[in-house]
Amino acid sequence: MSRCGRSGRSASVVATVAVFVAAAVLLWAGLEKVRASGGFDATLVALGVTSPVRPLLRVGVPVAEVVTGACLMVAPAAGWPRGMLVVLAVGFAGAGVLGLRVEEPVVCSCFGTVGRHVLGWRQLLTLPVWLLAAAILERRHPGWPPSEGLRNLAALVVLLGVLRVPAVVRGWQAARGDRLALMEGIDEGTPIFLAGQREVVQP
Amino acid sequence: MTVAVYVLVVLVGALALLLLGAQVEMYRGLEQLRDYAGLIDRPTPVDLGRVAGQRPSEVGLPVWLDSATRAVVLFLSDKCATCRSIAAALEGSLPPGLVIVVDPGTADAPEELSLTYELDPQKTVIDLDRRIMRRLGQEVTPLGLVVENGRLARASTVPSTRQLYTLLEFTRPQPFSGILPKDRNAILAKKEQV
Repeated sequence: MSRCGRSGRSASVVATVAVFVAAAVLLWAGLEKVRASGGFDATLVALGVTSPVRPLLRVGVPVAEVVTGACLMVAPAAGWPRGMLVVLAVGFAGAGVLGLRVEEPVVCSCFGTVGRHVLGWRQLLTLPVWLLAAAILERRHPGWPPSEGLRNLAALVVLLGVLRVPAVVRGWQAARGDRLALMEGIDEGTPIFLAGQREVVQP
Repeated sequence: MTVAVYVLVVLVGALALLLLGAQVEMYRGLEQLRDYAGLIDRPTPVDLGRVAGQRPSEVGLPVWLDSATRAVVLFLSDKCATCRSIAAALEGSLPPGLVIVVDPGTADAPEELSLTYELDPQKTVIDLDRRIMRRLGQEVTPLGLVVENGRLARASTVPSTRQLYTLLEFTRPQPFSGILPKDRNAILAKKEQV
């Protein structure tokens, strides 16, 4: 295999990885913000975003994230999803700057109500990463057709769902454990202390 | 047709992702409520203070625990509902590596709890006048005290039978990772030959 062929293939692999990672992050963030929009709205309020703009951002940002993530997968050759990616990245960094300027720390709500990270340096530091991903895709995007992109998007969404399962199982196990421990005490009966008498166990 | 199937998978997958996320949040909310109501089945570590590292017999526990590799001493009180439920769940048979210390409190008969739940008398100690508890400097029951290599290693609350069995997992024999004496002798003999 020629050196040119090998480097071309590795560039293609890097571009494919960049598309999958960027789309996964944007889809996850967008869908989580859609689900728990209250947390995102609270972040906007804490940043001092006023009423006419806030409802637009509350709906617009999650929709933009989901649409950009989906379109990066389905139509990687199109230029506008990459443009949207840059716009979103600059917007995230701008939110980070605003977060640093306000006196009280602002909870990020980047991925909905999951996590309690503070808005600030993290968003600023991820800006170069987003820009690098956009630059990689600008230079060499995966050449799959929209039908294959749709298949990849379906696989990615299913994978994201599977990644959620361990947290659900952990929560279920903890709730079940507490319920069993509680039932154990109830089955045994509750001690009743009466003045001047010995303890009585109520069945 | 294939495109329609993929679109359907994307939509159903996104919906499932939203629902699973909602379920995670629901469990988190439930946990907060349980925590607020004190219904979390989670052991709390208890500081042993100055008695940490002492031999069990020094605080009044059975002497044979001084040579135990791994054991759990469970402190139960006559006046605690959880203690009674744990004692009842044991059904008279104490698992290997478990010793029970009963604090009779103000009960008329100190051995009442152990007799009611038919606890193995060979492995049950009645802590008359709370001597052992006082030496340990502890008030809380049910309490699990871990003995490791003949020393008091650590302690934690035991909020349920489930947590007792989790603590008892510790007393199970661990896989041996060292050199067996016969192997050691063989290695030494080989070295001497060299």
